[in-house]
Amino acid sequence: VIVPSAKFSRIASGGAGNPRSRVAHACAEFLGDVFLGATHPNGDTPEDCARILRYGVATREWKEVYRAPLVAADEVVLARDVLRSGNKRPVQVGQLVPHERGFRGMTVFQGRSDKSPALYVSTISNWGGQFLRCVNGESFQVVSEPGLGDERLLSFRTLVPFAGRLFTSPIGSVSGDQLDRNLSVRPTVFVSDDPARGVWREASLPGFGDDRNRVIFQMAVLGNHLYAGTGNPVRGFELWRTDGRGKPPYRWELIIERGAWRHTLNASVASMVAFKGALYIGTGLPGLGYDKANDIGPAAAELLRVFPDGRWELVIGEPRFSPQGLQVPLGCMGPGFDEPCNSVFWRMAVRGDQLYVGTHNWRIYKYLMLQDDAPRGGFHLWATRDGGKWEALTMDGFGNPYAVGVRTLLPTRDGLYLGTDDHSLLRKRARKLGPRLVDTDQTPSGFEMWFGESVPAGEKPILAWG
Amino acid sequence: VVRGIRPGGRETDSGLGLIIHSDIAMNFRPVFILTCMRSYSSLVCGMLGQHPNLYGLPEVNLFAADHVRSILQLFKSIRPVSLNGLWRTIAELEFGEQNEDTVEAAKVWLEARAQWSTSDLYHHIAARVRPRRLVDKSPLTVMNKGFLERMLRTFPDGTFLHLTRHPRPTCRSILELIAATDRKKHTTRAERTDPERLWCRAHTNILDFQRQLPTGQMMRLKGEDLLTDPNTYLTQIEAWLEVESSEETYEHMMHPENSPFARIGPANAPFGNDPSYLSQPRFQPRPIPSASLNGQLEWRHGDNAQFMSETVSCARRLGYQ
Repeated sequence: VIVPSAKFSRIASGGAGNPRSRVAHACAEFLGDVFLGATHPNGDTPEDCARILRYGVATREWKEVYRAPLVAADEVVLARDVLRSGNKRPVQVGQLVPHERGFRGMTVFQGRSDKSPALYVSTISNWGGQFLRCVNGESFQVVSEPGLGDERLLSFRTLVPFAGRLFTSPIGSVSGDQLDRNLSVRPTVFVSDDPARGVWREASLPGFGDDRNRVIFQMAVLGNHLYAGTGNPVRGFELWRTDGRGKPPYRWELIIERGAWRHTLNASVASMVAFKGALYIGTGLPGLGYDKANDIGPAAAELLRVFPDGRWELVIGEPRFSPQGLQVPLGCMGPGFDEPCNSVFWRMAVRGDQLYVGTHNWRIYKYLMLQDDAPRGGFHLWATRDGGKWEALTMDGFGNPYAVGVRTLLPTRDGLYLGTDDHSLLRKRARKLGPRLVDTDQTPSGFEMWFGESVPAGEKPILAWG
Repeated sequence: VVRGIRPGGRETDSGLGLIIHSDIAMNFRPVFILTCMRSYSSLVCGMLGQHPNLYGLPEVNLFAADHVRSILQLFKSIRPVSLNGLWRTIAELEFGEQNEDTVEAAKVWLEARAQWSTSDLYHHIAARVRPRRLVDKSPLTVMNKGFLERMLRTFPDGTFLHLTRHPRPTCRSILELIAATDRKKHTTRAERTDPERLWCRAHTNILDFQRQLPTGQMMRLKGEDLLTDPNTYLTQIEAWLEVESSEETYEHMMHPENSPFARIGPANAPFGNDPSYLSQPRFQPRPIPSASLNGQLEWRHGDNAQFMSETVSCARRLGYQ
């Protein structure tokens, strides 16, 4: 049953001016406006330059404020994605390609050299992800070495201010002829109190001392601690925390191990957010819920919550025995909100007294590629006030079956911004199969951005999107 | 002999005492322990079976065929010892005890009901022990997807405990058992057996089977965890099964040796369970030695005899390293 508690309107479609901009990947509120980093999945052509867009909250207009430079491709560009091993890259050495094809992290932070809060953005680049800095909303400067000195580091996903410092961790690697979008050759937390000057130090041991922790996917703050969730395809994710006292590298404490006793099916932490005294943790597997590189899955995602004393509870997921007792989901729903194709709980946000969870949903592939399902798909967006009772705001990508994921969720004073991951390239396949999805042909390719306004209490719910 | 009614309310016309009724059948929720052989299942079944609300069976292997006749023919031709558990069950439940005479009577009883479906027989056994719920650990069930499907058709509301053990000691134990049999029978089965494939097949079948079940109908438990810390896990199992939970029920479960099936049986049906367990059914909490997925397999020749990648993936999914 869909019980909308917010009214969503589309504020951008078709990749906001470039249909090849398929991922609304990173978002932040800065200088009263919304800034969005648009990502291109491969970066094969000059049309795939990463862009930063500014949405005027007052004017309701989009403006491009940064575009990645073009460079001549070298052999680094040819690296093959380990999750898509069959694909040969359609790019030649020497041809012009963007130096950055996207952005994976964005936050506002004021470091020692910043006279005022600045916008920091992390790029996705085969030559090593970097940080950009912006103080006026118009111009962006590179403020770090590629890969913080290690050019194999593809990007930085999590950017979290904590205790007056900025924390991050690399995600993805380009090693030799292989590219991994997620796992890192250097799974270390980095910290800076002066990112404007590119001064970063290691804040943890690699993998927190365990080489099976192959990436630190996400960080978040709860109370006086910074929490870090890993990707561990051998044992399942781990959750660590530090109070950040003393000099880096800090002392870290293990809070959850073995994927909260679901082992490798909870290989990675995909999202984390503090909500009403607990840290909510969303898990996930890449691809179509199956990690091909590590032979894990298929499985749908789980949602857990951990309290400051280290206790954790299952919110959405698979009931199980555990060393701390029988775990039964508080939300009375199994993995993926009872939807096997919700393979990642990709983004979470808190606004007002509600927690929002946006998923990655691959059901459209089940229909189009595997042809064993009804013609439907699209991400889910769920909301709760207590972790126990949930409302689905959409279970079909706001009517777009090719909108497979929620890639950004930005809560602001005015409402909730939501950016999608577009897989409309599947349309070619859909047309071959017949007319049943033809109505969605009217939706242009490229990401969409939505804005949700709360429905005041007592007002009759309005069906959610338009 | 108790006369009964078939599902749907029709009385049996055979006069052979089938005691099934549709509303009774709906209330049966046996507990099936699904696992690879040599994975602590005899002991775990014995422990759970001593819970006052539960009743532990020996290995009855009833899901291997649709009809009792087929079960009897199948095992008589390929492995008669596999009938020991069923004979002992019938001797105990129909004739009140297990001795050579009642086992012979059980054989006659089963032959007289050869036309029954195995589903009917299973429901009959379940009705015999009511209000206690059956606990079954027949290891044959998991080796064939058709057997698992038959189990689910028979008991769609059954509860399923996926019991696991690290593949290395499991494989070692399988080979030890087969080698012991080889020594007795002067055969060479151990040389031809790949225990790793048995482990992989059993657990892959169970994981595939789980996909069709609603959330929570199957739960997974590492045998090592249960035997190392029974207090933590037995109480969780009680909660999951929605049975009584108290110090008294726990104490019952700590004494599997009190089961009528936890001993070597009469000479004409001595087994029906792991022979080692039947010889020593007492539970003694003990640390389980750790094992690794890495390293040479001692039962396989060659310099690079490691676990297969599919075994490693499956084992990691189950929580083994």
